[in-house]
Amino acid sequence: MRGGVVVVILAAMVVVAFGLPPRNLTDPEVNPGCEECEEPWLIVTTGEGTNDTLHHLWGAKEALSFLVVTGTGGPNISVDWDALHNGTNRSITFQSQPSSVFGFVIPNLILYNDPKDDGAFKGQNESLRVPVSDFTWSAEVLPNSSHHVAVKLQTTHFQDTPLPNETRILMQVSAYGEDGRSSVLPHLLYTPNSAQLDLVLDHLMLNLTEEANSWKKTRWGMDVVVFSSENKVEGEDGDQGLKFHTQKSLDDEHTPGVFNLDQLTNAGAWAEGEGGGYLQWRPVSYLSSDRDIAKATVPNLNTSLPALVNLTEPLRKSLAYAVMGDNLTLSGVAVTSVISFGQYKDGFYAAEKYTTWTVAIGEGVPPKETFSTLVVVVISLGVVLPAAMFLVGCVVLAVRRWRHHGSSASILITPE
Amino acid sequence: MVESSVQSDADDNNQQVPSVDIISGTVEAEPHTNGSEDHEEEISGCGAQYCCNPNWGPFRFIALFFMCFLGFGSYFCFDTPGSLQDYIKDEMKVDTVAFASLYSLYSWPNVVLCFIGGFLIDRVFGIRWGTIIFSSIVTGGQFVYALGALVNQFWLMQVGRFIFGIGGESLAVAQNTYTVSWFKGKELNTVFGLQLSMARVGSTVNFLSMVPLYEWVQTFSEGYQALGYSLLFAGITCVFSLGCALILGVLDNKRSKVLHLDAAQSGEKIKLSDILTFPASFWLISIICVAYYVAIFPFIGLAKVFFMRKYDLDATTANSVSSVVYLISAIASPILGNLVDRTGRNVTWVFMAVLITLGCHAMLTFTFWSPFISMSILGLAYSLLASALWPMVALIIPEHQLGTAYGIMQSVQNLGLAVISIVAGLIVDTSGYMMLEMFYMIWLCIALVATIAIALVDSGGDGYLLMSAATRKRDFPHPPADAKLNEAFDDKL
Repeated sequence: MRGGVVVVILAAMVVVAFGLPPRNLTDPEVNPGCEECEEPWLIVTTGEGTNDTLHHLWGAKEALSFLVVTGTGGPNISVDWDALHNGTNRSITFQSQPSSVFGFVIPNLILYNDPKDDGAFKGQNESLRVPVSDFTWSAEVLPNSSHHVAVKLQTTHFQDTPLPNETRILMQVSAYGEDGRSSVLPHLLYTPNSAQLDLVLDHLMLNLTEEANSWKKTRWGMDVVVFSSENKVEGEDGDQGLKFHTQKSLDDEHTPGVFNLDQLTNAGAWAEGEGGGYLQWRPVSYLSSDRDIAKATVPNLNTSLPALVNLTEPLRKSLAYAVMGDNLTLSGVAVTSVISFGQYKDGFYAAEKYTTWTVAIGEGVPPKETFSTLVVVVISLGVVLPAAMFLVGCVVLAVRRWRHHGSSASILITPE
Repeated sequence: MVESSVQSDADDNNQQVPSVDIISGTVEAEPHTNGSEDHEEEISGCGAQYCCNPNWGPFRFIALFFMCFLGFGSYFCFDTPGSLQDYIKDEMKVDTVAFASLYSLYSWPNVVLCFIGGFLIDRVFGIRWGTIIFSSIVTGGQFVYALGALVNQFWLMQVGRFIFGIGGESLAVAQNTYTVSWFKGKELNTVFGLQLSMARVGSTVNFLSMVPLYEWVQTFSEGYQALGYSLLFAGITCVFSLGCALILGVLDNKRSKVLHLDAAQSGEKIKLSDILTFPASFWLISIICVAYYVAIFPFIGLAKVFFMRKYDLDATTANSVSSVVYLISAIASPILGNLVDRTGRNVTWVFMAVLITLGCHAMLTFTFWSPFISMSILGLAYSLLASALWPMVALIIPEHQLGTAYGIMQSVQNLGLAVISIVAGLIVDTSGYMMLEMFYMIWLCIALVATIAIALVDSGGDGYLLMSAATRKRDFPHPPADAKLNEAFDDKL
């Protein structure tokens, strides 16, 4: 067992030592080239690498969109704003054809009544889809550096009515140019090929339909469409397309009380040298701003992942369609799912009126959790010190015993 | 419940270890009479029946039944925070640090009380009233603790646990005093082993029953009130133990009158200046005592949610896992005590126990193997350590100083538990359970180092602690601790 621990430690040190090469990120541009855009249709930041260019594309109009686009061309992108506003495909183009596109879109929120306290959304009859397009968004570029840029997106109106101060959907989207770990719980890992979305549903008590207003045990969820251009790449077991994995993690140091790590990845993301992308998150949604595990619930993903068949209006006006076009409906490119927040006996959304979800989106292989330096040091000392003392102790005891026998023998041999 | 030396493993016939290896130290060598041996008290009525007649040999076994259950309520209720951890945190809206204070507050009064428990029994209350008073304090503390939950006041729960702690350890001293008084020279060690097993059974029953009880209470109540009612129901065990204390007082009074005996005394003589004469081995034993038990009791207190989160267990199964340590210990303690009795080599057994415990925590930290495996092994190691460690004090400390020695050990142990419980809660909230396990393993490494140090110190002296039982018998007809008594006097002269 100790040998296994040593191997883990060495592997951790190797991974830490040989991370991805860093990227310098450009300052995020909100609606580049669009003078009359008031809401954040497109936010773009680019990271130049030694061999490729990585574009992060985010949008909050019509549907929440988050894309990672990898290519070998330059950093510039072209946006046909009229086409984007009209929902025409491929309204966003790049200097050269991207080698990989990965992303996800949230077209709707779902409010559902959960009288049985199941937690997850299971297609309950008492449910209502709230289009993201019903919200009005604002965007604020936060102070950034060459290796870390962030934008805050926040709702201001719902159905053209100003929202109360405390009622909002808040998203902080960050892109990174180096390896590291987020400073905000759940402290997800990031790489130069990734971004993170931190979503907060804060006091989201909306005046919807009369029926919805009568529900007493409501929870929130979201429709999600995840897509990748790398649908043909096979994994080790021959699988193609997007798959859900949940990994058990020994270390909950960075997310106290959470031992699982959920991932939605291309099969190809696991194959060495192939492209693809991933979504990675911890199965925890905090119910308070101090993000205490004592007040937390679970984000439930519907893992059946049926393929996207039809393009709805919000999807046509999303950044996904703007980049991928009709390829979105090709086999294996896009899957649909629902993420719903809740678990048995958490008091429903009304208990705390606060729910978070943090997800990392990236290109390539998802980062692997490793033991921290502190853990490695403690393990080393904990193994080495007692072992050393034991060895020394055995030597001392043996020497004393030998001396004792030696002096006993000399007494016996004493001449008469 | 803090470990006590109730688990006496000295053979009645083995004079190498004084048959006074109890928490409180010495006990009167012979039961004193009150001088009226020629005038037998006449018994009549139902008291003259065999079962109520102290002259009847098996009478003491009737008293044994009540002695065994004297501490049952205390042991049962001690771990109610652990068995209801997630419910307490959810309903009372507290974090792990606040939750851990429910254990910490139990230990704080016993940093001091372990010195004066015997004094209170001997000089202030007497054994009978002392037992009833301490049992009443335990019962009262449990009900205040339950009341705090009923009215959604966590501070009141904390007060209740503090009161509970005041009575708990002192009640253990009283139980020991009764045991020695009734069974010295007869089946003393067997009874101690039985009482230890009963204590473990109490803890086990708590972990197995509290969640089903809570779920039943939820059929007519909810929220913090359900929690309060559950704790009230748990308090019934303390009432039962109080009843046993009352009955035992009557039986002891009857026995004293019929057999013309003085009331039992703990014989605890605390003289703090004696600590200046304690050998280095004693202080190392104290380090082991603290460093080992902080990796057991605070761990079990927080284990339920750890098992639920890491191993995806439900509440009932998680509690079952926690109970395994005590269940195994209830069975294994007498067996392992006998083993240590026969083989000696206490230091070696302590080393093995600490090492095995370290391995169990490593299993829980670095693998996803079923926690039943590691907890079962942990139960064996825990029993082995208790059987080997506590008697070591009697091997190196003169008999008249044992009260002080055990008092110091318990005081230090309680201090360690009081502080470490809070630190453990803090670590869980800020750094997670893996770091908590690392923290426990660091303490076990300290215990391991201290054990090796004892071996080195002992080997540089007479090597008594390292010897086998046969070698001790052969080379030391009288325990070397008594020789140290003479040395201590010589040094002072």
